[in-house]
Amino acid sequence: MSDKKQQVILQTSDDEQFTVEKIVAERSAMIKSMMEDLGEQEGQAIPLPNVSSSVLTKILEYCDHHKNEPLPAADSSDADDSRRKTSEIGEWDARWIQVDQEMLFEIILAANYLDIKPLLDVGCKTVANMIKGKTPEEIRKLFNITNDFTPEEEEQIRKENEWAEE
Amino acid sequence: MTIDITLLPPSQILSNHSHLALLPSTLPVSSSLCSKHFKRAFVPRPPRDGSSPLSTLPTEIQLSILSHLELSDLLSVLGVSKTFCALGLSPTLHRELSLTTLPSTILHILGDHILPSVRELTLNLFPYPCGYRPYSPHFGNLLSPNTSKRIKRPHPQGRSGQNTKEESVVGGILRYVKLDQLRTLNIPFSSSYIPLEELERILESLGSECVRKLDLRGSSLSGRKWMDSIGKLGRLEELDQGFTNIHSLPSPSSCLFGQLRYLSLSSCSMLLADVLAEFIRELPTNLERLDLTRLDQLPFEALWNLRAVYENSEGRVVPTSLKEVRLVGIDHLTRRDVRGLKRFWEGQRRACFLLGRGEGDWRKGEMKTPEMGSTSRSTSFGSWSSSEEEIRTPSTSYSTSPPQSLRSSREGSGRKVSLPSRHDFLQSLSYDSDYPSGSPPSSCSYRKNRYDLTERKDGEDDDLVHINIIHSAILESEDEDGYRRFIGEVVGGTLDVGDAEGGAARGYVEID
Repeated sequence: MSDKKQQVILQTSDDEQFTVEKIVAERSAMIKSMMEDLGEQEGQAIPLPNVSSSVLTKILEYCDHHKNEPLPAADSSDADDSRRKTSEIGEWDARWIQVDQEMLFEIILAANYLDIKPLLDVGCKTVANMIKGKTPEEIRKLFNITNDFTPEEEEQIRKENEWAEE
Repeated sequence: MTIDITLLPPSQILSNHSHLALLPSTLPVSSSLCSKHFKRAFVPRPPRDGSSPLSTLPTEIQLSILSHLELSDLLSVLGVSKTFCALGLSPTLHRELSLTTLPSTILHILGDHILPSVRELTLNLFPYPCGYRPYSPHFGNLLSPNTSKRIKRPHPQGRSGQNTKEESVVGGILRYVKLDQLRTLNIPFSSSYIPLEELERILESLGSECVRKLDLRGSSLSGRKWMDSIGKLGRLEELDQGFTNIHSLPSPSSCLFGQLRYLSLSSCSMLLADVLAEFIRELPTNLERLDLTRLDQLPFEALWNLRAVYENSEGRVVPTSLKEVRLVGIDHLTRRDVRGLKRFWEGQRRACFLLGRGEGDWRKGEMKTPEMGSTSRSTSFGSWSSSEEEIRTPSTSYSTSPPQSLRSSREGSGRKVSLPSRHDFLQSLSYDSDYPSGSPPSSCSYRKNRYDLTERKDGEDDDLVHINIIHSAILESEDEDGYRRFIGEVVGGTLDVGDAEGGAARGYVEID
């Protein structure tokens, strides 16, 4: 088995081709089911029109590092609850995801598109950690969000939330 | 065979067995509003071109990001922009709410959006809610005007209509919660601020089809009436009733036990021995975990009679669902007792598999046999005071203790006469390993007559057979004197009492 590693060709939005081990590509539930649908057609590239080559390079790095871990169950909605409140991110993942904001959100979008649940989770937790402990103004600044509240509305919300600071 | 008897480490013996501390010294610290303490996170700069990738993500991903935030951070997000305000008020983000303090005022956001979405509510306000001052006989009423009347008279004479209902400090917040849709309600140690009448009203409002988990530890439920409030909750899966003054237990056929998998009666000191004994004998068959922590009044023979197998509707005898029994802090239990119990319970379960393999059917009358056998012997374990009696306790008389084990336990009881030393104590801890775990579990004559109870190695039914016993019994054989001496050991070891005096006084402290 191990001497004959199965390869898959992935084609990005900017028409670059990546040849990767099947076990790495299968981290993506989307690619996995696509391969199952297409059957064993050697040499045929799987098109990924929503993913650029720079993002795919980054993501393949993640998939390669985690390739030997068990795949999450197809229906893991129950597990979501237990995962939710723990914002712990694995050490390697935390270092790996230290990228600029544009790349971070592209990774999240690609993880969503490729259906790589643990990666989407890491991405969401990273953004959540960026929000934690910040005031609304700091959050706006960090994510370039425009404040569309009137001063009265803003004051009202501040008042509403006073109880939490007691 | 794997031994799944869980022995808690001796370092906890004081907290497990001390009769002084009745409340746990440490409650779980719920941290719903303290997310200010977190590790410095990696924060990349905002995009230079002024774009906002967070705002343009699909809503479902944005929600998934916000689902990792605690309430205090969600509240900050509400103030960011109109879009984020709407997003942050999505009901899915507020299914769980855990509060350690009560909000003084409930405005629109909390009252109309957050609280009605809550399905799993935890109010951990122990010892009492912030700002709540109990009535003082010397200084009169110290309460704020709007709560004073309520707490001064916790048990009003009858109800006189909707508007005059007595309401405690939690009433304000519960009014906004959809009680009939709650799945989980945790209000541990609430007796100091939720009077019985209000608690009964809260429990009445719960939807019997919805609620799965109730943590009513240390609530004001008491006496016999408490079952009226809980009995109809037929979908309940977990119930913690510990630290309450209840006197009675629902009958096993009560609809309460339809789905119940976990029940804690920990430290319910008002439960009489025979009430407990009857409950354990008729233990609901669905129950998977049972917590009997600190129920010192529970006699050993009652445990002996615990229902480990039952006759199902097809007339076959099958194991109950029980997987774990917690017997922590019960002073009179020894490790030998615990092993004996385990062997006996699991022996009954194994037996019903053996019977299932064609040794004929085991009719109800015969099923009673183990119980009869043990009750007939029960006279012999009334006393625990002398070590001679101890040899006749069920654990020894019933098990085929190999000579080695018997000898060592005899030595143990002999040693009790001599002055204790830490060295002896450590040795007594190691007796356990002398005992071959794979030995035939029983030599009880009444059982052996009927079927051969040799240990089965093929583990296919093991999951159904095993019962884990969590206990803190440290001594191999233990009577009151041995217990005192053991506590002396631990305290002496901690405080270095009498170390310098050497032999005579070493480690021995009179505990009353």
